[in-house]
Amino acid sequence: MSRADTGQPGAPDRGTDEMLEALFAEARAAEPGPSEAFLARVLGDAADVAAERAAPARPPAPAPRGSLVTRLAGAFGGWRAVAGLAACAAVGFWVGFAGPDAVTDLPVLDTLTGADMTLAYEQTSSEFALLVDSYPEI
Amino acid sequence: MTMAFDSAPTETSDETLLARYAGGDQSAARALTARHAPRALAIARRMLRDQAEAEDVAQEAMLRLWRIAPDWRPGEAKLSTWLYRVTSNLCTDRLRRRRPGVTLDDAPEVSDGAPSVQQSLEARERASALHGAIGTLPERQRIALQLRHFDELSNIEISEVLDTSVEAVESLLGRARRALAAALAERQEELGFR
Repeated sequence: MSRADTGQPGAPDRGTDEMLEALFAEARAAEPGPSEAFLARVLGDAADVAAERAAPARPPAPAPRGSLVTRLAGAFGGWRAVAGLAACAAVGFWVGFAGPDAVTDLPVLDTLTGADMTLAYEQTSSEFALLVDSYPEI
Repeated sequence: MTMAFDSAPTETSDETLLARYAGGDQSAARALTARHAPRALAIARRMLRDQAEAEDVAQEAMLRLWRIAPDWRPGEAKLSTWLYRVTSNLCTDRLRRRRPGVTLDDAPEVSDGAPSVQQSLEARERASALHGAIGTLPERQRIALQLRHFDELSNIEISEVLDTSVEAVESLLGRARRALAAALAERQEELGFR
């Protein structure tokens, strides 16, 4: 023990200081040691941590089961998504094959918009021709 | 008590043992356990005054040591002070979660070295007086005093455990000893010192 306090105001006198040292020594000697069970638990933890560290990395998840078509459908978000995609592809193919008239002549569009789509298309075409005539430099 | 765990050869440093453990050597873990677990447990028991809780804390501190082993950087910290610091911090956390008034129990049992009944009673009385007086100290004074006088750490080691300066440790120890002396001075005769 450092005796740095000796001589300072309020420092323990020699008798008290010796008493403290004796009490500390007695208390140290009286301290019980660790139990075997406690030491065994600590070592068990050490073995567990080492085993975790030594274990190989987790294997990759197994591939999903099912046919190639099923797995492809799954990759696109399921059968509903695939059906929607197929419908859009069919419409696109049809529009490309039949040309713009195939779309503008659809009666259902007139019903939906309340306008004559054929007329609107023709008006737009003539306005564009007029614009080109007015600004030949374009 | 009988230790069934062999201590490591004194020439093998803690860091070497930890590196060996990280490499899969369980005998190094046994050596480190024998070397440090008893003191970690003693620190926890003195701070918590509860054997079961102290064992939990010391086991947790040792577990953290096992986990950090592969990442331990030699030379950055002393393993013993790191472990005692972890132990001390875990105890402090537990003490703060406890309700006031249940922090201190009676003095721990005095080991039986087959003394007479009268000697046992006197020793028990002295231990009770000492631990009672220590229990009245502010937390950091109490920890510093216990690390110094029970675990026999140096002031430098205590400063590392408490994350403070050596001067602050000296101040804590000085105040703690003066407080203890004041508390026990009047009981010298009663405790068999006069």
